[in-house]
Amino acid sequence: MDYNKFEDRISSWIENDLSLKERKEFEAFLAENPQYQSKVDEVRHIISTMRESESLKVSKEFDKNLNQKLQNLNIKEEHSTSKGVFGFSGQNFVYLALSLGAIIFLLFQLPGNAFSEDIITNSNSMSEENLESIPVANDSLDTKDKPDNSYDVNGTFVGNDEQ
Amino acid sequence: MSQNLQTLLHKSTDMNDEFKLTDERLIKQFQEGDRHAFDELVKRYKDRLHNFVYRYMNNQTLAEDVVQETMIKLYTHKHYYKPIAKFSTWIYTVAKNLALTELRKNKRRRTNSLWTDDGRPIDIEMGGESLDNKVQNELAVEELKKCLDKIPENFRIAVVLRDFQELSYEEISKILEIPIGTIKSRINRGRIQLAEKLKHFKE
Repeated sequence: MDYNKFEDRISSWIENDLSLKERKEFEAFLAENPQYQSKVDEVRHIISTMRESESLKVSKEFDKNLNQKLQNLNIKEEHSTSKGVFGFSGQNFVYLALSLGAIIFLLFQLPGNAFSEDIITNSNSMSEENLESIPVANDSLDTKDKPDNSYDVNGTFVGNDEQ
Repeated sequence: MSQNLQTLLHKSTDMNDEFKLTDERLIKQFQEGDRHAFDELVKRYKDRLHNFVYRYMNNQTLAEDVVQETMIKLYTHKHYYKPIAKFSTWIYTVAKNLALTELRKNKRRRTNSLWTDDGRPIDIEMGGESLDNKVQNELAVEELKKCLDKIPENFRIAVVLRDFQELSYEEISKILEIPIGTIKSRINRGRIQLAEKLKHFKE
């Protein structure tokens, strides 16, 4: 055992917190180096002085002061819960409403151009690519001159055969 | 509910410790709305916490403020306590954190006299131990306090919790959130440094 290891174990030896092997090593080192006994005695003295010191108590006004602070706390809580909009105090509700309004305003303003570009781009692509698939409404309401290409439920042709 | 608690508390003072309500039971009652349970917890812990914080901060006024703040935190944040740890561990942790915050805000006073930091003379009770022994012990504690002030903060808090508060290594480890091996090492180092500083102080 060297001195550093010995010093590391002083408290454990005093508090009987060493294994049997460690204890024997420690005591053997101390027997060979009696000059270090004073170090052990100093630490033991420190421990007993602290443990025997009188426990300090709070002042006589402690309870009174604490109750006063708790009372003030309860009064504050009552004030904050009594007036409120959706659980927020008046002032906080105004700040929240203003913040939400600003966010909504920005959402419409900043990405506004991008949205409209997308719509134009999409509508263009639709007219080019999908025109054929979109059924075009017949403008004329007069159906007399138009060939009637109707079939009944049995598949028999029932329309005008003008051709 | 509070009447039952009062009855139980009254019984506990008359009968033996078997019927004494545990801290964990009291905090549970307080969480359920029983104010008397809070009062009982304050009664049990105010002096212990004060002793701890005072030894750590070395300032009576600040120590009492910190203990008051700890009790207010207990009152306003009672639901933060979960029964996975002992109540004492929880409340010591709260007090320690508040003390640390306060220490960083305030410079600690260093005095060279043998009076307490707030200018109070050393209080000695007559009777029991002989006056010489009492005086010697008090002087030794005062000297020790001044030396305690000079060792690193992380050693100091570990030594105070172990030697003034007499908490177990396990509990100290949970309060400081440090492994037990590190706690033992800090306590040992703290004591050795204290012994050296006390030797120089006396010379």
